[in-house]
Amino acid sequence: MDFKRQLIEGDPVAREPGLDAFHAQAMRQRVILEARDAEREGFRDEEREGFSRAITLWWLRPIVVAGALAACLVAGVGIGLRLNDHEAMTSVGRSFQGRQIPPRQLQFATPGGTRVIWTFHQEIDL
Amino acid sequence: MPAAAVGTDPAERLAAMFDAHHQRLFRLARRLTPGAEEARDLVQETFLRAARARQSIPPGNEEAWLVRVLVNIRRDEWRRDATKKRIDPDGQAHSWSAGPSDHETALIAKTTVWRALEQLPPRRRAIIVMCELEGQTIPAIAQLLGVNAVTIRWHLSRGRKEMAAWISSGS
Repeated sequence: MDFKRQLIEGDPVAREPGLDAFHAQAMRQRVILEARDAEREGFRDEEREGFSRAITLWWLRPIVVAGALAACLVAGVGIGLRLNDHEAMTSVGRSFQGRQIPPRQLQFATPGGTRVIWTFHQEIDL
Repeated sequence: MPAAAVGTDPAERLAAMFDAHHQRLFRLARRLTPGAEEARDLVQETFLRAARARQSIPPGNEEAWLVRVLVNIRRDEWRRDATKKRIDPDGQAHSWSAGPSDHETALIAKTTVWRALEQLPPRRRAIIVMCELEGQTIPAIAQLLGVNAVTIRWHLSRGRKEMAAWISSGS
């Protein structure tokens, strides 16, 4: 059986007219409308995406700023405390040093002429 | 295809694509469907899909993309139809067989070979149509459908055998 010949003989495209101008025009308009709708939908999606991004940023920014401020505060307090401790230590040292009583000494000369100077420990109370 | 590539506006691009390919797609659709109305619906659905998925259409290769989509839509319809027939065997009378009012479709249905062709799955049918009626080469069909040339040869041989079996069974 010659398929090819029979197919050609029975080909509907050979018998019928092609897509007529009326249908083609209607189809074209429908397709273009659909493309514009899809485009608008795409823009809307982008807008929605942009809006959600903006919202995220809007929330994120104060959170980041607050976090940074909190970190600064903690660091400041920490440094302050450390400085205070250091200050206290130095001042204690200084006050301790300030409180120092001049060493008590006992000086005498031996019969041979040697001069002896005794310095007493400050905590020795005679 | 330079005409289809004109313009950056998607609607413009689609309009150019439509102008460049609608007649060729209609001819293919007409050979894959039992009537002109179904063929028009098939072409329109193909372009509507193109409108919705414009980003996935490769520039410069629009024709192949459109042909593939058209064949896939027809295949989906064919599968749906086959399922419907399996569920409701009486539904065959209301399905895509030629209606008595459609004179042109009835003429086509008279040709045994075309009736045998209608039994084939859409992709196989499309391959036979492209090879036997459009006179396309196997590599060209393979490029259009995005498959291997060996697959095309296999479908051609299988399709011819199935048609011969259908005709000789005296259906």
